[in-house]
Amino acid sequence: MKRRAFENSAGRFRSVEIDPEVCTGCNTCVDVCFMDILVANEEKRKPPIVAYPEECWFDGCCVELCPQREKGAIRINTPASMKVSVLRGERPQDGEEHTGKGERP
Amino acid sequence: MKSGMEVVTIETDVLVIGGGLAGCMAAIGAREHGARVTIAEKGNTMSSGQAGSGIDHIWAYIPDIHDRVGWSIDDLVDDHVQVVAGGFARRDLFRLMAEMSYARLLDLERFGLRMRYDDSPLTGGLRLVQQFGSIPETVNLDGRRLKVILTNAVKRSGATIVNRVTMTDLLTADSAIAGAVGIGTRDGKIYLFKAKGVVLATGGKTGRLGREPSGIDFNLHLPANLCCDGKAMAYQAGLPVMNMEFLSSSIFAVANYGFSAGLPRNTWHPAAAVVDAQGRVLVANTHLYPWDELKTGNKIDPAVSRRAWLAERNTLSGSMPKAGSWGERGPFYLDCTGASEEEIRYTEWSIGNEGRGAQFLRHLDEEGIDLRRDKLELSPHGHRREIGNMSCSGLLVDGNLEATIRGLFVAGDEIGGVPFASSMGAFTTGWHCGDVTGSEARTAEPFLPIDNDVFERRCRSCTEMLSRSKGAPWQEVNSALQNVMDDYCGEVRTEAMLVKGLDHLKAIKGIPLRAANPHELGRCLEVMFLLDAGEMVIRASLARKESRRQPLPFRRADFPEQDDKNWLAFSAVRLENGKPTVFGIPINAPL
Repeated sequence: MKRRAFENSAGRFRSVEIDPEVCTGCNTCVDVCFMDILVANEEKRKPPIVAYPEECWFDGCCVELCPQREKGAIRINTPASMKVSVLRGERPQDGEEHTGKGERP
Repeated sequence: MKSGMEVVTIETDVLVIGGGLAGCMAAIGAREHGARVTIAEKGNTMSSGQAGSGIDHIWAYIPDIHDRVGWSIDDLVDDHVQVVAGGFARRDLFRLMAEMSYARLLDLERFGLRMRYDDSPLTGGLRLVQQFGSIPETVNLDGRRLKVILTNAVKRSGATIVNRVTMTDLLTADSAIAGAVGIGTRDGKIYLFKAKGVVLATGGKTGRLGREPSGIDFNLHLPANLCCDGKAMAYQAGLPVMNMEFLSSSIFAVANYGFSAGLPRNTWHPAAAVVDAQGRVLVANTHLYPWDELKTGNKIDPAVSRRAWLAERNTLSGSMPKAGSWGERGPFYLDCTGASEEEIRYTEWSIGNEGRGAQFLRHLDEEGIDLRRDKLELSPHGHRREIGNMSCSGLLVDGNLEATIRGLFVAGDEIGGVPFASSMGAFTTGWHCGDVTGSEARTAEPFLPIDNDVFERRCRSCTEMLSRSKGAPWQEVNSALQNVMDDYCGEVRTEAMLVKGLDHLKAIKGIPLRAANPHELGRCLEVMFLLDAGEMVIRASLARKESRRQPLPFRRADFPEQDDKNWLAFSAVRLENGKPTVFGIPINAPL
């Protein structure tokens, strides 16, 4: 049975993003994604289709195993509601009391 | 009706269901006996399973180090059973794991995993951290690509890997295993496996029975394709499934990212402390390596060390803010700013090698977050409920890991009664199952007859889902199930609500599912597993007429007391002639 390929659609949020300028269309990401959210492009050497963006588990195996990862062919976009909330601060100076330092009881 | 589905028949001596850590080790173990071995994996073994994005630590009993300080294998087992599981565990199975653990560690090294470091003064350059045992018993490793390394080892062993097949049914013949059925979620074919032995290594857990509070459905601590597949298959085949009532809140939550770390004792050991907005310390960070005893080789007193460790763990869990009940005390932060540069580097190394950690670090980098300077907020979300580590749910097996039907062996987290057995539990039990099934396959009789009813029913059901023009997409049914589990089977349960929940579940089970293609068919099958899992959770919850404290939280408003007389026992739910029944299994571990 042939798999249907869709245009990349935003869905409710973005997950995997592919840079068509860098991607060589090798389809390694299609092969390794265990959630099976990517579909190979019918046109050879074209970037895969993100067919099921909402089923991403954000583990990044597609990024990790991408032969073009250093060039940024594929990245995971962290949806806004998943972003890390952070309290920005300064690095404590040497000798200064800082929080959280403790000894093992 | 044979349906429009093309049938692929595969004959193999040993069928391994699930290609995670346990499944890969089972395949390699069975190949040692020359058996024909096939792994059926629903994703791709290169990245699938709970260790799919890596592990940086794994417990093991290291004779050269542990024996020298007077800490025996039994001490390791006692630590785990008593401190981690509160006695609610199968001691015999933990001993089996512990005995084999060092050999499996050496296997991993043989496969190409790096685990010896120049900065360790310990025997053999191993770097030990403390996790479950009262002394450091957990080995660091460069495990980011563990699944790639294991996949290569499986291929070298000569086992066959069939990826993208979701297994759906165990086939039995006269109380023995005959094979299994699966669905190709890319090719849309139905797979019939005939096998002399089957290893069930499907991971056992799920995070998809409850609503995900971030609104991103698959922002889960556990891999999102884990749906209690093996338990549902076993349940439908009439096998007992243990301890399903312990659907409970996950302890993991850093910010809104369901990243698998959260306590300073886990992947954030040793650099992180937990502080409140005023910088007051709730949990202090710890030394980088508590190696003094191990280095000197001075004898320790395991009983004293266990009591201290138990007290420390209780203090730790008592001082951690409980998600959802922060009241006026929040917000809270994970604070690494007091850590040394060496500790920060170690922590980043550790996170980078552990489940989803590399991606988490990329996210921090993109956001310009530096652990040296910035504190990460702990998630205030109320619940992120799962059948997880603490559930100790799974199949009932004997001391040889054989299930209640002949020839079916169970590995890894699919085994009941072994909470937090974790990756070493998977490696050891996987290997053992492979070893036994591989060796028995040589003398086994020819293939047993296949239960055509089960096979035909699956064909028909899948054909219907693929051909229906009307019907619910899997998301609709999954979401309805989550509502029932959260609203009728929440943290505090009552008989009346559980009974009503079962009613709702029955109605949801009757909704016809629709799949536009094999990919969606796979997701529909997952939802069907989840529906069975939900039913097992409710039935087991109804049976346990007591409340239980940590580490196995279970609360019945109508039975608020702990009842050790009747319920210091595992539960097991099974279908008897199609009728669900629940029974208790006394715990064999001394408390």
